[in-house]
Amino acid sequence: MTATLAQLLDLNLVEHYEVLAGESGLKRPVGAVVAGAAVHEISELAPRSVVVFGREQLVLDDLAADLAIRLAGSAGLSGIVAARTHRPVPFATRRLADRLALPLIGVDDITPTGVVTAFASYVSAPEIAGLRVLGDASRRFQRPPADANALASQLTATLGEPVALVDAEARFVAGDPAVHALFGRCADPALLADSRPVALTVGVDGELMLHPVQVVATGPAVYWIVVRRPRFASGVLLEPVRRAIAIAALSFAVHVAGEALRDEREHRRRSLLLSEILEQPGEPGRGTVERATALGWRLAGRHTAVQVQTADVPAALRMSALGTELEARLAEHGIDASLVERGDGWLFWLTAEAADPGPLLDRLARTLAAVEAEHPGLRLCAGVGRAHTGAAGIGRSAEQARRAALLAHTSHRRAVVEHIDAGSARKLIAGWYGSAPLRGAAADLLAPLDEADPSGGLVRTLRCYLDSQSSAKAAGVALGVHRNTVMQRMERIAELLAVDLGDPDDRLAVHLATRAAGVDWDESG
Amino acid sequence: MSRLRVGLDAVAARAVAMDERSRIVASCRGLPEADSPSRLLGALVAEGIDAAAIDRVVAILPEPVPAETGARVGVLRIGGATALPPLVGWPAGMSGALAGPVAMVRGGHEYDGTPSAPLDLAAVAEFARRCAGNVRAVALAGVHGLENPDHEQQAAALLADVLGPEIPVRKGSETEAIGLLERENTAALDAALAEFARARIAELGAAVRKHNPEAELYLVRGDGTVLPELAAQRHATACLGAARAAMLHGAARLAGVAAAVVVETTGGQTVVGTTRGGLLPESGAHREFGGIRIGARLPRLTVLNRESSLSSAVARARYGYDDLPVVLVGDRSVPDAIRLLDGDLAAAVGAATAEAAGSVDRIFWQGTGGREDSAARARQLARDAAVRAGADPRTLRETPVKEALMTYVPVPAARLQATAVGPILEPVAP
Repeated sequence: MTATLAQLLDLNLVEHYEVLAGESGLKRPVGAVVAGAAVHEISELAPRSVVVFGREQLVLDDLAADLAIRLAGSAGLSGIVAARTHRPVPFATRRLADRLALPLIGVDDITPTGVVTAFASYVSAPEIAGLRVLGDASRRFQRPPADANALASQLTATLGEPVALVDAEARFVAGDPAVHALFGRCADPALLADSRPVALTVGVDGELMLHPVQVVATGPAVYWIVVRRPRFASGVLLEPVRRAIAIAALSFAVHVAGEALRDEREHRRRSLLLSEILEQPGEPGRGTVERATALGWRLAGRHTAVQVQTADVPAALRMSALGTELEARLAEHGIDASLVERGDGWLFWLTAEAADPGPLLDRLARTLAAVEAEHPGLRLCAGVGRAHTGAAGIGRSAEQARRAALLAHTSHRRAVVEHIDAGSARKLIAGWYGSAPLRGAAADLLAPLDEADPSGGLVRTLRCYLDSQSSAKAAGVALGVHRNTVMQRMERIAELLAVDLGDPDDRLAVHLATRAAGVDWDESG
Repeated sequence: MSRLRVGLDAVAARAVAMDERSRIVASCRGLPEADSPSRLLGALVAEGIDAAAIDRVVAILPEPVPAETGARVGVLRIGGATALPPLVGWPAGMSGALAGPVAMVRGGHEYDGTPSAPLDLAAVAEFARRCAGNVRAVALAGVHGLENPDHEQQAAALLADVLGPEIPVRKGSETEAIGLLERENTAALDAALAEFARARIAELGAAVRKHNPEAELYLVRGDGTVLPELAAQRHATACLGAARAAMLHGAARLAGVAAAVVVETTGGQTVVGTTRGGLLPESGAHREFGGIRIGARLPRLTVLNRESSLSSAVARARYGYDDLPVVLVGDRSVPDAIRLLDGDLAAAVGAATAEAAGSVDRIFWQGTGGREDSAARARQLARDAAVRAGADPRTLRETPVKEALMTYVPVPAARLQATAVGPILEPVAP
């Protein structure tokens, strides 16, 4: 395996060089780099040599340059390196070098022996350059980078190329936005969602190298490192560059895992403390109060609890990270809350809020919508309880918030926020939904439909039809299908179900069952 | 797929495309003086050859008429104040049409390259000011400019600074000739024809690249070898006599022989010439252009009337090589001669198969190195010139160095002549 002149130059062993002509010859293998004593000696050099001239031996804008190029071309040399002049190299000289595909490299004042020394070891063993890259990477990433920006800048320093960090949905996180933009142009973001991610090379000439950052070895990638491939990274030097990126990815995974661990630990502490408060009959003990105060929780006063629930979660999303994000988003919308993980969601409470819950509901809805917009496929809903006094009031309001959240869950829309006080009719329904045996019966009722159509299409049609006051036309509009389609499905449903939809009792039971269907109920409360 | 070389004979309006083994792949015959070189090339490509396979086009262009196509030129002499002033020997018609300001300034070198007087840059600047706006080109020549072109280069740089890049400057040291007057005349005529030559060759170059952007254009020189496109633009006089020289080479190659006596009969005239080893033996006489003696030398030719006998001319043209075959172009008959069927294509074939050569002809002062050193330098100079003309350094052939001792100079010196010739350097395979 031999190095090419392009690789040698890209290693930045010589500063301030310029490819003046003969670019197409840069891919020729380089057998040796030698200092040239005189132009006429070129004919005696071994083929594949690169000859380096000082200012005394060759002036690039002189007639001697043409002679040197012709001699080098006929001797099968791989390039000429010479001192740059302030005058441009004549067109005829450049055309000659282009035609013979003989690279003509102009360098600033540097002695020929300096260039030869810089290149020599890489010419005889290109693997050395690979070791250099690997050594540099392992030194820089011995400790996990402090954050994503540190990762990007350190990897850029190692490889000499811009780096971007993107998340599993191909959103820009840190580094060079231009690399992210390039990635957007030359690759399908769906690549990143692979459940078994591997290192990739994308782009027309493979100009981008991608490496997943995995916290769990067999899990999905939480981030991807995108690197513009260094031009020297070909042949024997490709693998070392890949491994250098892998080292960086591993190091950053340690950082991500550490962050996650801290989050989880914090959330667990909060959950435990909340359970203590909620399960303790009467006033909480002194120790509990102290720990709550340390967290900035207020136990005295009138509390309004809010339960935020996830309805659909994409696989790559971590709950603890989502909780942290929710907290930040809530703060942006003026809700200063400390979230506690509970079941499929989070609980928080606000103390001494205004009696009117309207503004709170509005802010919550906007917060949830904002978070949903960030993560395609994520669906959130929330329930808000009534205000209650004291530490015991937290538990009471939390229970109401949970029921309200269940109601919100049944609505199958996005970012729904329900308040327990929304109406007495809702409370009646919420009580019904809260009963596990009744829900079981509802599921049994709809079982034939699920068997006939596991995708849930029939249940959806039935629900929509009943929601639309048995109007096939309105249901068709809502579902985006023709009225006749709705009618046909209803005929099929009537055949499948063991009930008579003409009977008011049957119809009510079926309607309730469809609204409860598909909701994953939290049995703990 | 075979690579193609195209020979364009724009004088006789003939074009051929030849493959790597010098076989004619396509040819076309146009109307002399009616078809432009680019039209001729277009017609040849239309014969069905693959334009992308053309490596090079070697052209013979009709010779210019200097008094009509030349531009007014300023002439600067550096040193040599005791010699005849520039342009004095020119015919009145030529100097009337072409002569601009003339100046002789202090400077120049000795036979060994040391300056005989410092260059009078103020006088050069004064000459430049006189030229500004008055001439379309400038020529300059210095005493012993071949041995040391330093003063010529300094003066040329100053002239270019004052007159701008649009005004061509030609130097005497670009011509390999011993006489100052010949170098000066050559530079003056090259300068006068610079604009014309550039326009004409650039037009053909553009036409060539339209067919294949990778193809190179060469022009045939007066000795039948090639000059690269850009060099030909600089030295219009170098291509004088190209048609006949290419015909001599081409006739031998068409006949399949490496050396031959070529007899060409056109109209009432018969010309007998010789080609050996890719070169035409020189006569020693300088070529004249519009009555002006220039640096290039004429090949040895014999011109006969239709009536006069041939045999003695052929015998003379053999120079003692009695087994040299005779090749006939035209309708004359000679015993034991090879008659060419496609004799009219000879010049085009000569162009397509032309080689590149370089010669040296100067006086070498035998300094510390002695004769061997001088001979080695002469050979190196000839080789360099050949390589610059496009020859492949690996396949160069050299003629023996011809030496003439100079007995009338106070130091050991000799006039050395050497020539290197060889096939053109092929581009790397794409």
